[in-house]
Amino acid sequence: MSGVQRKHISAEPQEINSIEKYPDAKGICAYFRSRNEAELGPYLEGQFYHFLKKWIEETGHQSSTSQIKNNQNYKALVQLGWPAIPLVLREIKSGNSEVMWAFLLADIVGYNPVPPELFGNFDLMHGYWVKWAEDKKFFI
Amino acid sequence: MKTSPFGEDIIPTSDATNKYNCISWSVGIDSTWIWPSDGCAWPADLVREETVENFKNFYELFGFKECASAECEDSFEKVALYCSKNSVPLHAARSLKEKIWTSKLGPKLDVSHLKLESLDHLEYGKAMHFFKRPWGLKIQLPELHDPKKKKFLMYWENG
Repeated sequence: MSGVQRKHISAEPQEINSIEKYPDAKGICAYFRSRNEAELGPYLEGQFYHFLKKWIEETGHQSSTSQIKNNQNYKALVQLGWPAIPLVLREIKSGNSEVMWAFLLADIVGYNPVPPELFGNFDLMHGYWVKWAEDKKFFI
Repeated sequence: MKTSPFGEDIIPTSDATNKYNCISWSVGIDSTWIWPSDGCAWPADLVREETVENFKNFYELFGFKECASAECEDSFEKVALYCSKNSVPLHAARSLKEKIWTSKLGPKLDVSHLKLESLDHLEYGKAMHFFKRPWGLKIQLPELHDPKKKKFLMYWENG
């Protein structure tokens, strides 16, 4: 992949990271895939796991939400936007429970649909996010 | 004491779990993640702010009173609150009757450590504030959620 293509692709999450502009998740994914399906998938996945690994390395032992969320790799994951959601959901479904996925999903989506009575129980919160994504017809 | 991947004087005492964190563990809870931010459990009567004052109020709800020293005492269970240079709470450890400390490392595992300084390399800041309560103190656990917030969220989502 050339540097020019990278630059072009990295600008796209900014463009679509808006629930008002593209409220339907299925539509967003379809739009995104149609734009650059052949190269975006591997590129996005590579970026996702690169930032994820560094985020875990740097904050994986923290409890402080501000420490976890102020990390630059966390911010880079959020910037990947809605197309990263299926990758997060895949990790949740694979049983990766040492990551605060609920924080990341809420920041990518822009709001938190999880009922407050589930706050503090990440297994239930992650389960709620999976159901939310299935209701929105995300590709997982 | 042996060394571990987490450093000298640190002994793992559990498997990794995201069910609870250091603050939960410091008050003896191992079923919920407690922190004053959205998405976490926190007493309904307290604000969701990462300040020392707010954490003092939190520990008071669990029967702790602030004290001057981290030195372990026979009659008291102690908590040490670690803070950043800017006095932002980052971590908490709890004393054991064996006069060592126990900590939960975020979503990772519980550890025992000989000294509060044993965790210095983990970017938790320094242990700056200390609290104590009598061993075996019976308390009524505070409500950890705010039911009023659900109504607001549902209105926001639908509206």
